[in-house]
Amino acid sequence: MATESVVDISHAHPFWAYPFPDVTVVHNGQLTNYHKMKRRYEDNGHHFLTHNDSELIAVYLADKMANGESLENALKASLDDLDGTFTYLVSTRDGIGYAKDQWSAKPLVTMETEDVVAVASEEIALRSVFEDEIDRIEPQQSEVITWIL
Amino acid sequence: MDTLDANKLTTRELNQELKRLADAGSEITILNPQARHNIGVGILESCKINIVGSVGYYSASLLDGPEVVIEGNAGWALGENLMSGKISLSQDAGASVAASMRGGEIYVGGNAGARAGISMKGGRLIIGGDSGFLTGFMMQKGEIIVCGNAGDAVGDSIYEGVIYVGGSYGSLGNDARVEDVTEDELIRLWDILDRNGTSQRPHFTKIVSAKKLYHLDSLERLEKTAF
Repeated sequence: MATESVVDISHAHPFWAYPFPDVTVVHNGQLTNYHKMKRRYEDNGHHFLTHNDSELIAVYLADKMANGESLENALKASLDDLDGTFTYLVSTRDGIGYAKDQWSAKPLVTMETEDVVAVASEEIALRSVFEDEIDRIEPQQSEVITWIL
Repeated sequence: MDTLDANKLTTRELNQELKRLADAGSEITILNPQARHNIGVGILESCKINIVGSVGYYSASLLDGPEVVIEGNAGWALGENLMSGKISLSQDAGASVAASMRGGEIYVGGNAGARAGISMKGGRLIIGGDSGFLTGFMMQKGEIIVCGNAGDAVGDSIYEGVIYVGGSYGSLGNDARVEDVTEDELIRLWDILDRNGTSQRPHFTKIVSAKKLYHLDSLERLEKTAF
């Protein structure tokens, strides 16, 4: 559930990049240039469904990819373009990925085997799925990873 | 020796039982921590605690005296506010390990996340692997020993204390500078690593405060005007 806008089902994660198909985001953090960037998209005719900053990330990435950027490059560009604190996950039709801000302000752990990729804020969430001890990695600042199908 | 199975207890029950056994001077082993948060906090007695498995955030924090051995990873802020005693972690620590620690020693066998030793006020933090962004941020006393590489902004806004980096580092933080390491210091550091069971012999870079942003005084501004 998003905690910095209306707490209801339409403001719950994941956020969909309306009207782009199949781009959704789960975000932990706060965007400080949300209003400025949102106005820029609205000036170009975009209509936002919520008043939540996380929706902007989904729209930002979807817009980049609609203009020909790869998922990885869109994530990398977001490190400079989005201001504030964020660790977010993105899911598209072809893959998933994450980006972590330059301050390393929000937690993230990942686990990868030949069969499974698991990503969560904390190891306790991964351990609710994997009972045995796991090799997890804590990504560092300005880090971007994608897994493409 | 007493054994607690974390699977059978809530975290509050686990910590209460741990405290009771610690007060009785027992050596305690905790099984199945499952990376849960706040395991082993607020114990003010000398005792030995073995945690078999990973722990979550703020574990082994607010301690004064215990010797804690953790076989696994730790989440954010392991050993926060340690006053005295020893914490040994076999694998990786999350961000802000040893935050505001005032005494004792914390050893991380693997890597540490961002802001390792943030606002340290004493004691020693040893990291066997690499440390992340802002190592020793706003450090005020004590020492941090990183055997591997450190990320960007090492020692940013450091007031006092020393950071040793065995490998390379991304960049120095604001008001941090490099100082020469003496042979005696190296021998002392290697001895500390020996005691922690690592045979690494890095030729450390020493990072201290440049004190250009250093405006500490023993009196507050209003106190000074009173005299």
